[in-house]
Amino acid sequence: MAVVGFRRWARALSKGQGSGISALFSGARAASGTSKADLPGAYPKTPEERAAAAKKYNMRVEDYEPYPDKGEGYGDYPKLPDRSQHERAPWYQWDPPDLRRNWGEPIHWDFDMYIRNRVDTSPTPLSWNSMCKQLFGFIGFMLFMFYLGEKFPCYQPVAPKQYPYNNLYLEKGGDPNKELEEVKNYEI
Amino acid sequence: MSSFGRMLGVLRGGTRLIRRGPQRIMTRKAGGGPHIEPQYRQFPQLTRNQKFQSELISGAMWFWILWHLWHDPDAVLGHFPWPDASEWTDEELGIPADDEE
Amino acid sequence: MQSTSLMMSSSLLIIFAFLTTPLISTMTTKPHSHNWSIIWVKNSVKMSFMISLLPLILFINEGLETIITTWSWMNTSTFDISISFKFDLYSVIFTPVALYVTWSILEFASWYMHSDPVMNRFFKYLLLFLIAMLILVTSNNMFQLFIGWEGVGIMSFLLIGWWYGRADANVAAIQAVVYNRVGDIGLILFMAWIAMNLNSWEMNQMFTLAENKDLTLPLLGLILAATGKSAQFGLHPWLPSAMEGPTPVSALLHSSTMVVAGIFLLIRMSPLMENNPFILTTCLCLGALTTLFTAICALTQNDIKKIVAFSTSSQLGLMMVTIGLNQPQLAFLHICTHAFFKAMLFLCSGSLIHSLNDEQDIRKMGGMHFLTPFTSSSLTLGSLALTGTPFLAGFFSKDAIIESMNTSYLNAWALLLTLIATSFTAIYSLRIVYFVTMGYPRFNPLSPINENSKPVINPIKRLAWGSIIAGLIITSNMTPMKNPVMTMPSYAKMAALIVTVIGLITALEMARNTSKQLNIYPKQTPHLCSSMLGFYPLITHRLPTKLTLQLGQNIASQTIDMTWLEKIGPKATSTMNLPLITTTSNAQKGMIKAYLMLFILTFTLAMALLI
Repeated sequence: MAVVGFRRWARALSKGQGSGISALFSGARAASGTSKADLPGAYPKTPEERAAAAKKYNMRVEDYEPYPDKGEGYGDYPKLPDRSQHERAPWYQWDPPDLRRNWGEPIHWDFDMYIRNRVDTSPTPLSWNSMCKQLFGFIGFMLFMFYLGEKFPCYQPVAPKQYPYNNLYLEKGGDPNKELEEVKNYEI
Repeated sequence: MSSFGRMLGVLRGGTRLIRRGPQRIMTRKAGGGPHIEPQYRQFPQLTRNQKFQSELISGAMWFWILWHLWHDPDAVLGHFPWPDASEWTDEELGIPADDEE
Repeated sequence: MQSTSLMMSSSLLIIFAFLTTPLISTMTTKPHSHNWSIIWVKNSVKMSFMISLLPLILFINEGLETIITTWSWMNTSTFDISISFKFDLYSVIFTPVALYVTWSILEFASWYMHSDPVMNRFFKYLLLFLIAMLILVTSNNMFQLFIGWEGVGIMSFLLIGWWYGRADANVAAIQAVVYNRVGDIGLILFMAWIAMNLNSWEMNQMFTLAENKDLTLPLLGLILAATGKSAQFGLHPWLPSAMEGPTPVSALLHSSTMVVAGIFLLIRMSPLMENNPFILTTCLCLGALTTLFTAICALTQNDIKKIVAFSTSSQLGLMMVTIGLNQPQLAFLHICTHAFFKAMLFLCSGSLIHSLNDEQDIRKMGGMHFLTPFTSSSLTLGSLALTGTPFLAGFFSKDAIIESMNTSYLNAWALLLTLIATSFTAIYSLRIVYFVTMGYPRFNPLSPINENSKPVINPIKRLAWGSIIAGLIITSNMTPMKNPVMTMPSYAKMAALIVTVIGLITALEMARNTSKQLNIYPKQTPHLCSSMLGFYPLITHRLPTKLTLQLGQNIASQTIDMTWLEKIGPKATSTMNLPLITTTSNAQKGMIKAYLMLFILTFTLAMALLI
């Protein structure tokens, strides 16, 4: 932070303009929160303003495209393509290799969403729709087949065990005084 | 004395260069096992122990499988035969013949 | 009897004492030598294994069923929590198995992680993990089990993210922790329900009290917990990602111990589940889906560790199926046998990866049978054991599971899926063996091929012997709790073997085609479906993450900020104050009418008050 402050101070001195000085003051005053200088400026309306904004964000004018001015507070912040850091070349010598970005490169508005351990937007061999169709089709088919399998279960047909003496009626602790009808386990 | 030592070192290095071949295993003990040089486009150096261990474990496995297959085939093929109801005769089941009334 | 139970608990105490000694010795500020991990950690685990054999022998010899040791821990007026250890078949057998496998893996790690700057910390983590696992296994109390459960969870996070400088390792660690937390929701639901309705976390009391209650909701929570921990379908993507960790970690956590914790929980809770057919069917179907889905994923992977990881996931699905068959003991048997050969497969792949200069792609291996004979033999042995070759370790559990499936009354589709997955096991196992050990070398010309190191050969050798004989030993010493079906049609008895052989023949046929110059291209879409893991991680990791993050951004940063800090804050103040200000200033423009008006107004008010 001290370095940034010093740079701003140096720039303000070299410019020798009121706005520079005031930027320095506002930067110095902001003990917490974002200083005014760090916030995006007003939405650029004229081509000159666009050029200035593009220069401010280290971009070429052709690449620079601000968010539409709908009062959402984006100001002149550039609308970068929704590409995550996964898509960037892993073998290039990035300045911080972990973040895969260079110093002074404009940062996506949702940069925290597109870092390498969050959302991945790298292209896939199949389209999103067909992938979803295949996966959910597979799950749906499986659920349906499980339902069918539940309707038509698989088993070895086994009859209950048959024992002599009325299926061991007395041996199983039945009432000896009651006469039971003889169970017939077979039929010819 | 030191020059003599150096000469000896050079000589030793030279002989090593001459004798060096892919088959040679240096018996320097470092880090547990015998030291083995990485080979460039050559068959790696193997120790006899390594081959023996490999054959021992494979042999033990096959002995174990075959010995048990010989002595205990039931575990694979089933312990008791499944009764086939269609082969039971009426006589076994005690069913009287059809013409007997 | 008294002395036996004393022996049990005191030997467990000695085991824990041995295992915690190295941890305590790290509390000094003195730096440890590089040998600390080998001298202290490995030897303490080795000693613990030796000691843990004592309760095992006692247990088998005396034919015990369960010994429970309870100390009171904390009491509230309505709820008691105790430290309670359970020595039954499961804990007494699993403890030596876990210690044996860990001992071998630690020895291997002392070679594999040799150049790591903080190898001692790595060993400490592994040791902490092992202690957590033992707590989980021996506990008889849900609270104690939960400590072990969370312990293995957090250690797996730390160990998967061991190479934290790599973004991939970080992602894998985060995935593991998030998926496990989803599972924890289920476990907490279960525990909360139990505490509310049964008022006890002691397992025996739970089983007795829950007899006439409808347990569907808490048991669904339990299944969710097992799904998260044991990587069942739906919460499975973390397991293959966890291969970003070092190979010893994969061997210990993601094959033999931690991932079976979920299944182990279900085995422990099986008395609650056995009378609930809905829950059992859910387990069965979930397991069958998992075992097939992950087997399909394993078919087209090229990373050797990923293949082994997916086969782990597939075997976990098979264990889940067994739980669904209401055969917890068979599931436990499969856990034990699986631990040996799966840990060994990982150690073999670790040795090969090291020999080939950190090459994990099986397409770039080949011919290893002549170059690293011992590792390759063990790899083949492990694959054979995994496919269930008769009389190797896997056979005794896998064949029994398929047999009991064939003789049970169950969902036909689940049976079919499991059989298909079993034949797929043969296919991907053969694929590893074919690509790694057979054919011609396809690796870099300069590879440091060397397996001649005691810490490489010895652990693999130990586990290899285990993979050969452990199945028979454990099976013959375990008293079955349910009557095994002894007689069945021979096709049912041979089903496991038949589908495996069919898979093997198919795989051989296809492998033969790869060495011919035929222009056979796989159909792109099915191949992609398998190699991209059924698109599951792709869809679930992209869409919900993006949606939630964007929603959070829009709600928190933009909408709320703009509403409160702008519209309701400064802007509302200014718009509300503006009419007041203009009225006041308009009233003070020096006009006599206004002053007169004011004078009359106040006069009227004063008069009204007076009267």
